[in-house]
Amino acid sequence: MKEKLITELNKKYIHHGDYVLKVRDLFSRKQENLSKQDDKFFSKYWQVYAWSAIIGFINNKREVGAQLAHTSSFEFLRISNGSDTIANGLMLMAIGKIEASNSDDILDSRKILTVISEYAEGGAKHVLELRQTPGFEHKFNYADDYFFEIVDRNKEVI
Amino acid sequence: MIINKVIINNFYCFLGENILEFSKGLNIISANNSGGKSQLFNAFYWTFFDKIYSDVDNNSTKKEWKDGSRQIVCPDLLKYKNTESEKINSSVEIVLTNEFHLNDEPKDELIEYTFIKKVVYQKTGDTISIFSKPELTITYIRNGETEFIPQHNQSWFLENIFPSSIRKFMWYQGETMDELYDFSRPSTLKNAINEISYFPIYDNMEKIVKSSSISIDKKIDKELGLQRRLTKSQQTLINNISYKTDKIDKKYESIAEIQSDIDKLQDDIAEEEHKLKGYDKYRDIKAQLNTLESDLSLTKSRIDDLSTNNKESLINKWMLNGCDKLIDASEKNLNILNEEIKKFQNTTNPVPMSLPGPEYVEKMLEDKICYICERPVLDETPEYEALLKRLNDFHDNSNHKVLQDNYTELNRARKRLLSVLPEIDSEIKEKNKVIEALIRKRNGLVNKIAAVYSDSGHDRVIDITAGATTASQILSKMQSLRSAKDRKSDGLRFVKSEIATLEDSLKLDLNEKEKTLVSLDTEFAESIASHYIKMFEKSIGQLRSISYINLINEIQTESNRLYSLYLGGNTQGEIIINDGIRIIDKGTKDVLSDLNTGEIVAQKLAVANAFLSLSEKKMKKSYPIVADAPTSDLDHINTYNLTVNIGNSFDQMIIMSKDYALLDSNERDNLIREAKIVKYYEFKNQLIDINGIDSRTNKKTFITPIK
Repeated sequence: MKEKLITELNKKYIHHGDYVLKVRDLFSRKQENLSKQDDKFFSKYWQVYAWSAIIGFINNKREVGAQLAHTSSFEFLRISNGSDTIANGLMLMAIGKIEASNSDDILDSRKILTVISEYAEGGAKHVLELRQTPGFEHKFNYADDYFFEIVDRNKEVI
Repeated sequence: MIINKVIINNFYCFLGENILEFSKGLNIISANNSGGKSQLFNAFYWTFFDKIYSDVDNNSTKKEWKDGSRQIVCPDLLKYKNTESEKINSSVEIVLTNEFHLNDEPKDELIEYTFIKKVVYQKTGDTISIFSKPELTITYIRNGETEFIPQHNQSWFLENIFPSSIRKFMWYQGETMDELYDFSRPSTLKNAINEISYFPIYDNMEKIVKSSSISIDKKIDKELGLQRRLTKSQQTLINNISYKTDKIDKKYESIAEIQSDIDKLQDDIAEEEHKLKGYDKYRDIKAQLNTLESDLSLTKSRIDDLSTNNKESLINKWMLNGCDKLIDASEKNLNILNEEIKKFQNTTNPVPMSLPGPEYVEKMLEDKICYICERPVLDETPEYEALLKRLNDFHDNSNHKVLQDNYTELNRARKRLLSVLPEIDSEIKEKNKVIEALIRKRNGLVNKIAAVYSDSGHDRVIDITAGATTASQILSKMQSLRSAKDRKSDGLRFVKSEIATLEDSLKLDLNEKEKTLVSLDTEFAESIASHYIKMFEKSIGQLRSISYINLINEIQTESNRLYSLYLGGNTQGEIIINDGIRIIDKGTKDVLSDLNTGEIVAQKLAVANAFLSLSEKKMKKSYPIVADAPTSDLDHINTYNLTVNIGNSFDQMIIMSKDYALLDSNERDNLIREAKIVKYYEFKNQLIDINGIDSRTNKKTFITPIK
């Protein structure tokens, strides 16, 4: 008997690639450093992963077929517990990207996670490339950059 | 006393030797700010009283009296230019004429006294240090012989010629006039009166006569006792009277003690109040800083809270900003789900709820028996197929249910997100506006705090904290002094009530004595003397109070005369001296408060000068007045009036002021004529080398004698 999509997703681990790992180390505090004061913007791994994925979706950067070798960082449940808005957003954006002919194509939780992770890889790669652009070496080292990036998204659209 | 000459050598802005001659009458020193007036004043004070009025410290513009022996008085030029190990001599010489100091009564024996104060400095590396300590020598010539006032007698001598209780009236700095003498302190008036009149003699006489009266009464009683003319009860009465008189005396003594303690405490309180004047501003500044700083820290923490909050919002929601279309794109796939749901609903009948559940059907298939009709169900039979189909229906139904739930939830999430996401932009703007307003507030507060520091003249928090702590300490000391004074006052009231009881009882005893002893022969020498002593006691008491009233009236009249002179007749009220010194309305006689500074300065000057001028009349002692900027709080006309009239009040006055520097040469000549100015000097602090740098090391005071 089938289970609800979100239930299935929550049970599963996120698989992600090396770009996400690099971005994670750049922008998120390590678990052992939580008590220490540092200036990393994100405090949890799921946050930097979700952010990378959103950057990927927004900029349409998908690493199709990327190697998602890191398979035991955290479960999707972390995202759902942290912010169900973000969890739903990721899930729906992934669904939007799936080429489907029936419900089984759509409600495949691993496929959804793979789509999200491919965008996360793309987003992370995009961010890393951006930081190699002269003048942007320190992009996202400061909190303000995150806000600017978010506010600027709509401007670009306009 | 007349100051004849001052020779200043290498003292602050006075480079090299500078000679100033003064005469009887009004002497004026005119200079702009930093012209050297106050340093001339300091030259006098340093020489006579070993004090220098200067900045509290390098960080402060506040001034205070400092121990003169520790100050480096030589000019900056010499401090910087002198080469290693070279000695620098600084000295001030003052020549004055005064009545010979050992004469008890003025005999017009005028002696010229020379005061020389010298100090030698040495330069070692960049620092300048005292090579030989400042030393004062006082010499005079009498009967052709040069005499020295020995070192150990110098302070006594200075006290003799400049009594400390009226010294303040002779030497004053306009800017510290308020602090120099305060007539609300009971002892200020009392000490000044004692110094300028023979009034203390009445006090002594009264004491002497009172104690002789007591001792003669005792002698009478003793004599009567010796003559054995008294009965036992009369003897007891006499003893009682003697006992009570003694006790009352002792109580009065203790009253005098308590009273003097109270006066002293009052003086101490006034002293602390005076000290507080220098420090209370720190309390205000500290309070101001505390308010601003707590507001600043609150603002900072609100900014931090909001920033954290914004970050949380960013992570939990805002980072989906602009994802609307991407999310909306899921609609196509969600529609596929919806189509499947509809299709299922159209082709499949829902399983009736009354039928056995899937577990029951599964059991029947497993046991190959229908538990409803109790017939066997064999494989591949139509019954078996029917049960199998029923079981599939259950699965399909359940899958359909999950699909339906998924669709509902996903669609709901999609709609919710699509309604929420467009608001993010304005939400961010709104929150940022609040933060920006707080940041502006924070910057404003930081500026305000900096302004408080710069206004206060201090840039270190420790200075202000130290000042505020000192102020609190002074206040708590005042508090304890006040409560000590209250306790003493309670004690005083108690002793007074005890005296009243004792005096009542003594009065009864004395009446009794008069009645019972009337028959006795009391015509012996002591009793006759007693009548005269009582008469003296009474008349001296009367003389004392008449003399006090007259003296106060004289001071008051003289003060009012001078007060009116100084303000050109335009006084706001008149000076009245009773417990303290106040200005009252001429008509209503009410005390006038909130007077302008000029009025108060004129009043203080008038009273101080009245004391000095009366001292001349009463004690034949005249004092010069040396005043630095006495007119700084007066307007132009009053400065003129004061100058024209003040000279007539005294034998000699030396006034230093910037107010005359404003006059053109005609006005100045008129003033010299009208005010009968005897000496007029102009001080100018200018560059020594005109092409040199603008620095104190290239400046000195140039003295131009105008008259």
